[in-house]
Amino acid sequence: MSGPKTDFLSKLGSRLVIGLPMFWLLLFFLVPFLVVLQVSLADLRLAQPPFTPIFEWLDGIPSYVGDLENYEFLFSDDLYIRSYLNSVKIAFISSLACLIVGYPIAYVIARADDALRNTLLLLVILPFWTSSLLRIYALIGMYSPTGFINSWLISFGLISEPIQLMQTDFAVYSGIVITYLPLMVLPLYAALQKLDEDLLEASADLGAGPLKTFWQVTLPLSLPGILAGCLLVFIPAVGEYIIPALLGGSGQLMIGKTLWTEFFNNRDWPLASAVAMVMLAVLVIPMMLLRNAQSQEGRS
Amino acid sequence: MANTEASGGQSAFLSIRNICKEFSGVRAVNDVDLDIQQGEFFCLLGGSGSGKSTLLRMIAGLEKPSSGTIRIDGQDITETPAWSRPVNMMFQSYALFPHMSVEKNIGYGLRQDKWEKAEAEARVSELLELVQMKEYGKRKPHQLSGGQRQRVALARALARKPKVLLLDEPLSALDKKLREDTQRQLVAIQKEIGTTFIMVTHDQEEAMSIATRIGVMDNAKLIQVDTPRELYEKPANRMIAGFVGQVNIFEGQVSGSGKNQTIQSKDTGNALEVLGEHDLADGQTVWVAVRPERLLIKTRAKGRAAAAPNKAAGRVTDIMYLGNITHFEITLKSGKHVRLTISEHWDEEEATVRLGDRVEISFEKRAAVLLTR
Repeated sequence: MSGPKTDFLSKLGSRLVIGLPMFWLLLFFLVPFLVVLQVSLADLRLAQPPFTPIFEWLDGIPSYVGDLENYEFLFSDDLYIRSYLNSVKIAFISSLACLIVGYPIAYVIARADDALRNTLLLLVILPFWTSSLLRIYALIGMYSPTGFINSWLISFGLISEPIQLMQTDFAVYSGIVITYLPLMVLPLYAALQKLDEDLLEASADLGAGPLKTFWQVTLPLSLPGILAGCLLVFIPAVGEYIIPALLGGSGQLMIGKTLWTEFFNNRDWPLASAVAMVMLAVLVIPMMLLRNAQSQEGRS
Repeated sequence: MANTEASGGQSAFLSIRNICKEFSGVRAVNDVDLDIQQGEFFCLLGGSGSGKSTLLRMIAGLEKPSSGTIRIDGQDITETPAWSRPVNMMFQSYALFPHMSVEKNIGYGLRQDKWEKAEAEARVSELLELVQMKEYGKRKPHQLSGGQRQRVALARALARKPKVLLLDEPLSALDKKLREDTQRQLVAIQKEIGTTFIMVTHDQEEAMSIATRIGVMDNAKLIQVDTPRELYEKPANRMIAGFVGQVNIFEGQVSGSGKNQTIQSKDTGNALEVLGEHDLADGQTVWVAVRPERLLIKTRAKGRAAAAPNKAAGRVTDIMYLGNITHFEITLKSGKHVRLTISEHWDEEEATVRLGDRVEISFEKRAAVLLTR
């Protein structure tokens, strides 16, 4: 029955379904974002809270007294620029490493028969169910001078002194790859699984060997999965704090660590907020450009 | 077998010997021998699971035979990988590359073979013309209709000038009207370029109207290879008789031997007579197949039995008038249902047959085919 009453109810229902998540995002994403934005425009002061308001009553009129001093400071000290660039570099290399490790995994899973496929997928997802901190500590146990790798190598007589594994770039990269690998494998798997086997056979039939078929058919058709996977790894990797802090050396500049230092050690909330805002811009702007390019390609 | 006769002793263009294919213990193709001549339009006909597609895929190199050999143009290609074989396949799903334009799809094989750019372009536009898709070269597959995709798939499969073109149910995704037009185009294109075509289909009408010869597969075996006419007139067994067109089959028992041998049928209540000599044993069960359009019908007076060879008495239980032809269903006294078809130029007596009438059906010796299987 669709009387005016049921119409009203179904409209209310659909509004609720859309409205609740919107409200959630508004409350826990947009509001904190605006708070951080506001703090980033304020000045440091020794008080509680440790920043000045950006609106003040001047002669009975509410006026804006914020400024871009924090942002100017970010660009005047090359520490910040270097940590941004280093973060982007580490995130980029990690994404690439994830792609190289994840692609064959996703390919094998997508081509496996049904029973095996579910088991393999479970194995990929399983580590995600343990705390990432725990996994990083497991890595420390492997990499430390008295850890598994070094003690094995020494007991086999391959080396006499422990080799330096902790506090290296390698430790950071491997930590990020291990942590974020499922985020790469799953979208790749989804893209590869959709790939019609007839296309591969058609390619072979038309004279392309397995390698040529991979370059000309499989790879281009899995491009959406590659992009999705790289974004899913790249974005959290840029802001990663725990992994470089635990596995990386003190010389390893990353923006997550810099932000932590500003916020907790220096208690410079306005500057830390500005660091966070710029990080957001670093991430969001390339992503929007990419999405634009993709939707343009879809239209043509 | 008929196929060795067709090859006439000389070595065939495509020659398949003792091909078997097992999938985890199950024979999908069982000991198939087949010879196909250059320029033939050959159809592999069979139901689903008969092994026809597997046979085609083995010729393409997409399945590895468990045993046996495949030779094309004198060259053994049994171990040759798919990408080095001089054959191309048109897939049932068309398998067009979705990320490439029509031109790029058609030129794909030419790029693999490292054709000169100008030559490849000329070949692509020649093919676009052949399949009447000239204006669509820049489109992507998803912007085309089903019939257009089918034509692009055909052009792509022809691009490398294969010695044999394999077609896996190429028309099954098209609607009936389009399918008939496309059948004609396919035959015209095959005649024009003269390439050997091997098409897999489950549609006997399609096979009959297109093929120069048909190979019927059933249960992993190639049962009969013949021209459409021979297949229709002289089916090798009851399965083929029923598969290719409609047929009435009368069961009979052989009695006696030599000149006095007769076949008595419970279905007709009379003897069955056929042309020619047959080596039959006393007591053997045989079948006589008669096409519905070869049966004769006339009204019968009450109580008068039709006591003569190749005759049977019954009643008309259904009439379906289709304009150019009329279908009759007749229930014989034995309870057997018989189909009979009369074309529009029937004689006066046939025209007066009404539903429920007592009738006598009969057939000539030359209209009957004796089957022992």
